[in-house]
Amino acid sequence: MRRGKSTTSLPAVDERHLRNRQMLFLLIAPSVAAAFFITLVPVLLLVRMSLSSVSRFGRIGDNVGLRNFARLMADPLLPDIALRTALWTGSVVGGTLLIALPTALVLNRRFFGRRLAQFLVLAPWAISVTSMAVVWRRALSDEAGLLNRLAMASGLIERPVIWLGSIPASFAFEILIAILVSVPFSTVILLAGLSSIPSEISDAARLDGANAGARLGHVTLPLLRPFICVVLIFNIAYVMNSFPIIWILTQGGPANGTDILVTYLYKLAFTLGRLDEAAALSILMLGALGVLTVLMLRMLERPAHG
Amino acid sequence: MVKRSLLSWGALLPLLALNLFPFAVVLDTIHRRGSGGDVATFWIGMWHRTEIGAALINSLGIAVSTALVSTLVALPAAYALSRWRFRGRRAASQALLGSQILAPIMLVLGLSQMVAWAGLTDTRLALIGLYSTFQIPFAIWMLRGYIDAIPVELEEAARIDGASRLQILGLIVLPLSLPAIAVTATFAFITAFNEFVLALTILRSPSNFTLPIRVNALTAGRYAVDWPDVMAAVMVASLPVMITFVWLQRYMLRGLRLSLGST
Repeated sequence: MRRGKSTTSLPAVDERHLRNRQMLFLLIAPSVAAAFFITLVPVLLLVRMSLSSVSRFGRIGDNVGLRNFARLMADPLLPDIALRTALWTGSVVGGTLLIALPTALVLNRRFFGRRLAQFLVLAPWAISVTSMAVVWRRALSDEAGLLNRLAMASGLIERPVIWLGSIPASFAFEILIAILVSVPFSTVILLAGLSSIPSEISDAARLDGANAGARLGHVTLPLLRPFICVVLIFNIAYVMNSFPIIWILTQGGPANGTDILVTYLYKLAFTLGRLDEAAALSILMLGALGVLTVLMLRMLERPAHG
Repeated sequence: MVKRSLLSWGALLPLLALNLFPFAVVLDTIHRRGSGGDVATFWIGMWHRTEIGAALINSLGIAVSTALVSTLVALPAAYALSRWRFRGRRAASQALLGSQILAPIMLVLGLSQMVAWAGLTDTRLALIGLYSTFQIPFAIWMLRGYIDAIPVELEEAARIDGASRLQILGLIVLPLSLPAIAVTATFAFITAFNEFVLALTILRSPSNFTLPIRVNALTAGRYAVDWPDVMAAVMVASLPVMITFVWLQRYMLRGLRLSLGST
């Protein structure tokens, strides 16, 4: 897939080789420095805070060893929140793929108004997640609003419902919104994958007598595999760290019933002022994410067959 | 073809309905506003009541700066990753993809301490710095895909004709990468324009608020929310990105496609 193999493989005179190295360093240094700065400094600060007692105003006090981690582990809310984060990530990422894949398959074929359809599928991309969440909050809390009128007109409910009043309904809607927000980007990546599959392969399979289902299962999906992996990586990263939807709709409430790890982290740090425990939670989450990332990159490495 | 078109539209219908629902809610809420005169009075009043104008200027300033800074820093690195063979190059490519998972929210506590130490709490400058840096990996990833697609033969021909490295960069690589630069900058613009968590944490004074924070402040922790105003503010907040999107959608999609091809 890559071109451009020869710049430095030309037989290089030592001096030019050296100049080349210096140039390489100059080109890359600013990005590398910035990346190190933005990750290493906050991580070191977090490590230090997680091992100290920190006042609610951010003053770092004595070293307390692992006390913050122990307190965190004793937090009765945490197991539920961790489980809910897994549920949230699993259902949003799974739901997104389940919707984006068929959508991309449909959009990949020619039909009347395909460009308009594609534009409408991608439309939520143009609106910030914040705005989307605010609009849905209005829809879900408005007794005389569009959602209640539509639901009543279609006979789903008899009286207006304040959807954000109940935990399961709130969380279900938050999952739905997160899926809707993630579908456009995922569809685009899958479309890119589909357009990279030469139509000859599918034609050959058809000539060999494979029906549509077999072509999808044995030709299209295996070839799409690397793109599905990219969708999974981007979405898992994005969804686990997705903050605005839940924060704006319910702030993790009622009674921490819709909190996921990142909203609880934010609450610990900036609402409850338990900065040291929040730092400890950040460290634990970073560790877990690191492991997850390595696993996912491995997945991407593995070839499609074998 | 007609049958297939109907089937395709039918299959997409549920998703399209869900996508259009928020737009319908916005229009419905504004339409059902109780008192408050004609359309012009409402919009002018909304503009003053919500202070959305200042937020719009803040957001535009921060987003444009982020687009410039992140693209300028990422461009040389992307070129190097595309053209040089060096040890650790593969690892660097993986790190680019892997770093996507490191979201600001994980680090937000450390970042806010860092910003406080630098004396930049409650400044727009802090946000520009943070957004630009977080955007760099994605920008490198995007630009590299594009630069990979520029044939090296062009550069080699120029070198044989006696062009210096700088000349090659300035006269061949740069002009050919302009579309890529535009697309990368657009993505950075949109990301910065819509960012929520860092802005929520770092900005304190309402005069510094960006659009997402302003919109959030209009609803969060209030007993009586003026929803028609909020919905109109949401429209204002969405307009710049919507215009960009309608205008550049084709190029953005092509850019993503190229970058994916070289992953």
